[in-house]
Amino acid sequence: MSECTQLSDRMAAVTHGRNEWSATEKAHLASCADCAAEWRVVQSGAMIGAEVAATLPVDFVATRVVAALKDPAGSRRWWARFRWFALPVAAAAAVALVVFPGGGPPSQGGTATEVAEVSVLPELESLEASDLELVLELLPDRAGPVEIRSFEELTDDEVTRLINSLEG
Amino acid sequence: MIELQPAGDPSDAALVGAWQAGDQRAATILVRRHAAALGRFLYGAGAPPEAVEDLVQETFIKAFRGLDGWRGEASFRSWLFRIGSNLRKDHFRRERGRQVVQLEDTDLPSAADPQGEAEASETGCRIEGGLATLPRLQREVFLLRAQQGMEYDEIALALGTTAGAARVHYHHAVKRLKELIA
Repeated sequence: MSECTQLSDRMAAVTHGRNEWSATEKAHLASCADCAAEWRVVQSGAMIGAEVAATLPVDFVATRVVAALKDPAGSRRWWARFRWFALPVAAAAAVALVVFPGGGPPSQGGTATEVAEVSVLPELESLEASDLELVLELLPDRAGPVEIRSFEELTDDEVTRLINSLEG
Repeated sequence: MIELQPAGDPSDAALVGAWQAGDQRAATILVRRHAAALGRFLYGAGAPPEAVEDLVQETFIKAFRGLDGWRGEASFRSWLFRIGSNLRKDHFRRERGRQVVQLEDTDLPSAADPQGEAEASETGCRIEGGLATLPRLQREVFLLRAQQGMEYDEIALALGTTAGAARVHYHHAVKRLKELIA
């Protein structure tokens, strides 16, 4: 193993204080431009994000983590992350109510279904599978995407409760 | 008896066990112990500064909720970094199109700095910018090695690769970064 390779392998450990350079190694670093450049790269790499870490509110994060762990159904932050989802769903419900105020089925080829799908499904497609599962868990029993296909079957009270629950 | 680290603090494994037994203070200690390092890694890996806090929080929540899946072959820290890396990937997919690493004004060399400090700061800026251009595994291996001081076997466990592959990724990354500061 060349001296350059040996130094390269030890740079991380020296940077993090687990090792020290010997006099011979120091002399090599002073004379080998390639090793000196690598040493600068490693030392700079060790400093990346130092300012971010210094401003991270660690105690606050710890408090929120513990609070979220106490609430297995999900923290408010999780819900806040998906609040945007409430808007297209609520809009779809409102459109369905306007188009079919009597609550009956659409007279021509499921127009309400198309409205709901156009408004909601593109949003769902951008979610990771795990995120989608979380959304489904958060929604009330009758508010899942499958139920959106039958908004016309909901009563006014049920639609109001659905919108209220989605809007928090 | 709770296993102690050399400094007399409880080990991560002991704290995990205590948390699983219902001691919430153990979770707080683990977050305090690892949050800053995790935040630095996530930032270096490309998380925007404003997203780091949330990603750190999500990583710990996911880690604690999935502790049954931690077999103890990897350290708690490298397991955390693995979860954090995956969450950052998900975050990047959602935010696709954004700049990977954003340099802040505070990262730029100040004209009032002594020359040596200014050069070091300029090198740091180039390294940060260069990291953003590296493939993900090269970037993350470099960070775990240079920023976090991990050995290759621990890096391999954190990133789901082999120690040999981690060594190759590291050397490719260093070669590219050296060219940037030449």
